[in-house]
Amino acid sequence: MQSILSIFLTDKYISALLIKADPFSVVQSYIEKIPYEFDEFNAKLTNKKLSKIIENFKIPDEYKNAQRIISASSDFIPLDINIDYILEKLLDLIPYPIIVLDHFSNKSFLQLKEDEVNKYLNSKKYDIEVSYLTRVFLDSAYMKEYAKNHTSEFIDQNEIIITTMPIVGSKNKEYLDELIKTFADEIKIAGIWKFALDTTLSFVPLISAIVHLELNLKEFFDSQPINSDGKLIVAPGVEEIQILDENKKPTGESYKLETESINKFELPEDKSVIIKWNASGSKFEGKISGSDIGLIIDSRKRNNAK
Amino acid sequence: MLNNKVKFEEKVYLEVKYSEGMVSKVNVGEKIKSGDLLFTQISKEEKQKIKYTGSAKVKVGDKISPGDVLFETSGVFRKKTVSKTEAEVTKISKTSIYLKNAENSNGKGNEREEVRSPFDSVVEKILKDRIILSFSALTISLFESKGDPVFANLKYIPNIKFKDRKNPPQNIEDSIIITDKLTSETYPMLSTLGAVGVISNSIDYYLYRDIIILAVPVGIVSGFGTLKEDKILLKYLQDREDFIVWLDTTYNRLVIPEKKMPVDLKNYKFDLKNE
Repeated sequence: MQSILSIFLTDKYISALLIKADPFSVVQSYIEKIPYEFDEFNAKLTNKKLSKIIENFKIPDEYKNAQRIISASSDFIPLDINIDYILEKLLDLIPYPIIVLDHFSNKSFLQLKEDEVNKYLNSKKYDIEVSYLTRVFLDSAYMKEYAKNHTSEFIDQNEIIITTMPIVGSKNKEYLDELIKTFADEIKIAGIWKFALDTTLSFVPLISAIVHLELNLKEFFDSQPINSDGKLIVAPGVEEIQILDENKKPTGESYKLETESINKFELPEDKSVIIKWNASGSKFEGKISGSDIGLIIDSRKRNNAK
Repeated sequence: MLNNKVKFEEKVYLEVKYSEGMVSKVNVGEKIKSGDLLFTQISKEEKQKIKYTGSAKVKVGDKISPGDVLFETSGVFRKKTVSKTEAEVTKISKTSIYLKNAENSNGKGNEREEVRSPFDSVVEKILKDRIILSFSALTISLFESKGDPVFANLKYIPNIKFKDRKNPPQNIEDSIIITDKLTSETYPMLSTLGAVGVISNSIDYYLYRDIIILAVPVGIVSGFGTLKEDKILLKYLQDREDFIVWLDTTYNRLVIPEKKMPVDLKNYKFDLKNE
């Protein structure tokens, strides 16, 4: 039985997936904060240290001989560990936008206020958890850049995966809400986007395993719908949405939208509604399913929105 | 909390490079004292054996200067050979003239270039172009540092003392200054007053980023921003005033020679404290 332990290294965490090759299935997932301190003479992570961390993973006996594959971001490659897949190259292969938010390895911190920069860099050096607000600021800054630079991808792709480190204080919903609003600020086209939030950094080892097994990435992703953790509807200039029944007839239920604003509605992931709007420059009629954080409807006009 | 901010090490290694033309004055395994000579310039006196033909124009005991005639060939086409250095004639054989106290190969007359050990240490290795010394020391891992490594005596001066611009702190020349915080006024002042290194508990990130490293090397103990000094570490450093220390910017550390782990720091753990 072929099995793989696919490991992803960041400068703070090690995430891993234990994968059965045929049929392809995830047996277990792991995420561990690197428990070692860095100093000028001792690397924070080495092959030996990595093996010790893996020893603590509760790997079932039948998978003890799983083949190890390792991926890492190009700016975090421990010297004596052989890296099979570089994150940046993996992401180029994926037919979906996948946003990896490892705020310790991007340069967004220079956009923080003066004192926040100091605190952030101290946190980075001493492995102290950054405050929730600092983290949201940094990850939003990255999201802003990403949305700006990948706009063309979002015309065809309406599923976006965000993979990141654990968020302290059970604030996953608020965190995703902020990132979606940042995305909405930048996106210049009308559309509907579904967001999946992975806070165990597990998408990268998943992709590595798929690539390693030479599976068809598009087929894989098409056959595995992503979670609907957040949903954004960009409906420029829309003032009201109507709810239709199964036969697409008005139910009489309608909701006024706050104009030029971001509106939020509760609609759980397992529920869906047929909605309709008709505004100058924007028309829609169709079924919309909910998400963990409900529906975010952005009615702000875009200069070049269709 | 950091466990490894402060470490006592039985053997800290110091690599001292020497240039061509220098010779080691120590042996492997030798215990040396701070200030002991490690290398000195090879004087040309040992090699200054000048072969001559014709007749010597100097005699043993002559003190000669550049330009003085050493020997002269006889015959139709006489040729004079002159000294290029200051020297004393020690011996004249049938074929050679021997000189001593010659000019050094660095061209600095009789001033000899010397390299001395900054610390009591043991000679571990002597290689072609460097010597490795070892000594026991306490190392404080720095948050950041930049500039060239430097050895000098340590002085603690709190930032507030730099505010009186008319009466700045005295006797800081050739010292490594430890202070609680560095500001845009303090750093240039320290540089002007002749400090050879500055170690601050904290500093604003942007100021640190913009510091011109060529002026004075800088080390940061705790971190960026305005951070409280750690009382235990502060007391230890104040007690080491005037000790010769090593601001090792290559490995981001402050190295203070110690025979054993100081009692006050035995179970020390560093904790970041915001002011």
